[in-house]
Amino acid sequence: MGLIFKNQYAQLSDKEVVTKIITPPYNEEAAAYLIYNRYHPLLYKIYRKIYDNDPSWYEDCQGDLFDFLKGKDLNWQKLRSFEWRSHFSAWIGRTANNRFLEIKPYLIGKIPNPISIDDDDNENGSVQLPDGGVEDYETTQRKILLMEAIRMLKDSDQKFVVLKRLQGYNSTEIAILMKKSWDKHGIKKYDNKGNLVVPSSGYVDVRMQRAKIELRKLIVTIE
Amino acid sequence: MKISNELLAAYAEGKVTKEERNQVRQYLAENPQELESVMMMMDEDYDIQLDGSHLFDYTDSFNYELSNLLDDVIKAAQISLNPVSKSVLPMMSMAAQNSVDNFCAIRCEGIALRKLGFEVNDDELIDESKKDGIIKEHGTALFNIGRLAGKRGLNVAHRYNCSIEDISNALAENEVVLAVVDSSELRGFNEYESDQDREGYSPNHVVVINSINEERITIIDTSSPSSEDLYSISHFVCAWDDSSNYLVIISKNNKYVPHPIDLSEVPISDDLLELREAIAENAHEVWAFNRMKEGWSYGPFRDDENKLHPDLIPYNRLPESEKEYDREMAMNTIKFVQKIGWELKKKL
Repeated sequence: MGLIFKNQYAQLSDKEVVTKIITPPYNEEAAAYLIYNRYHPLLYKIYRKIYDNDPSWYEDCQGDLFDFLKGKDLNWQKLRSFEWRSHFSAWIGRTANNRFLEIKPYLIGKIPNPISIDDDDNENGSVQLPDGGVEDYETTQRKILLMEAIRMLKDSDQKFVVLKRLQGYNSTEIAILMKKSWDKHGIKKYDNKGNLVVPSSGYVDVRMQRAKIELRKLIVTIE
Repeated sequence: MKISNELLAAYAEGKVTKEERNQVRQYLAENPQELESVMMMMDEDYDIQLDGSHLFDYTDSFNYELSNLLDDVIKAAQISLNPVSKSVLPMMSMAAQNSVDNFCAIRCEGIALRKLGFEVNDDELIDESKKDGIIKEHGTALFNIGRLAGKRGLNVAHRYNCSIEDISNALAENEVVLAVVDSSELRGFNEYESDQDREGYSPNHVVVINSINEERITIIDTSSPSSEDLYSISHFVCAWDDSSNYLVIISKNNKYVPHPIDLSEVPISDDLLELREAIAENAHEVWAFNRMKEGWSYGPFRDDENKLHPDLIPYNRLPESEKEYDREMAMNTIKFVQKIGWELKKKL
């Protein structure tokens, strides 16, 4: 999507961009920037997961998300309702995930979409995914605590490795992703011989092993 | 129960009150499929992707991987119930518990055997180890390293609290030296992680020492892509310390120098002191019973031809010197059990 924006938004924080959108007379270009530019990688990854890597309906999903955030009254009520209790990326990701799931049957089935863009996520239940089998309650509770323990991991590499493993990547792939992440955040690491470290599958495996040890310590501290 | 997107996102970032956290937990327990959303929201780099050629299959990987991780974390808890410390010898620890295929101990023995002229291959040794019960689900217990060499008539010494000098001396005698290390510390990048707490890490990996000098050590690490890895002595010792500097020395030499484990610092409670006398007496009973079963009887002097022995009398009538021998054996047994991390408790 090669959209050209009249104004520059790249230097603005999420909050500054959102403020432009929700403040009358409402800056739709800023909203388009968020969906079609800044959060395109995140949204596209969420989309690919839900739509099995078939790109056919991505633009429909982006358009639907735009309309959903704008709302029936065209005053960006949905976006306005966000109170900044989390990073904007987490919220927009979650919102897009639910929305993409909801409209999937209608997009793929070419069924007219009866889902109102004003559905309030506070009043709706969760989007039901296909039943993956009944899991016992105790195991689910343990998984919840494990997720909380993962969040508490202080070592960013350990956390990165665990989260990417949960997304189904193998060690070699995680090493490539970690390199990208270090580049993105300007991180450089050196080994004890002064050589620049390039993440390898071995590096990833060591972090994974250490993360498991840390998780064991953390999980017993959670109330 | 209804949970807003924003509350779930705040939970994923740990920015909720205790009450809200309990609400979200309840919601997730009722809607476990939402855990994946929580994971996604935790990942600040969720948008980072691989090139198209690396597209992977998303199908339910999250549930599969989360279940695996949960198993591993629980398993790790079971393994580390008795964390390694300087006062406990990790004899029951499992080498290779976190290696890719759990076979590092066996592969290192394979290297040792080939160095000493035996034509063996690793696959056969692995099969043999499984058959003999040497290798368990999580790896090979430290005291079992060297059993394959022992079966082939080689001298095998299991030694704790060794020094770098011990390694040098053994290599100088053309002996093959296997060392047990913490793989994380060996392969770690210590420069920027030196502040991490290393206590309690497992001695979980076996390597073969190839050569050593005052500054450097070269090892064969079966999980390394290189044929030989070079480390500074201090780096190696840091990883080796976790096994209480454990070595398994394999050789064709007939020279035997006993190296009993130093138990002098192991404290003994009053209860266990009482136990010492009981163990000593029973050890005498067992010895006498077996001797008599083999046809031995009492005689004032030892006579192997006629199977006579002066100690075939009740324990209380033994001379003090003989009782002391039994007591020392009992005491060493009690201390040894404690030294390797076991606890002896009186049943009420």
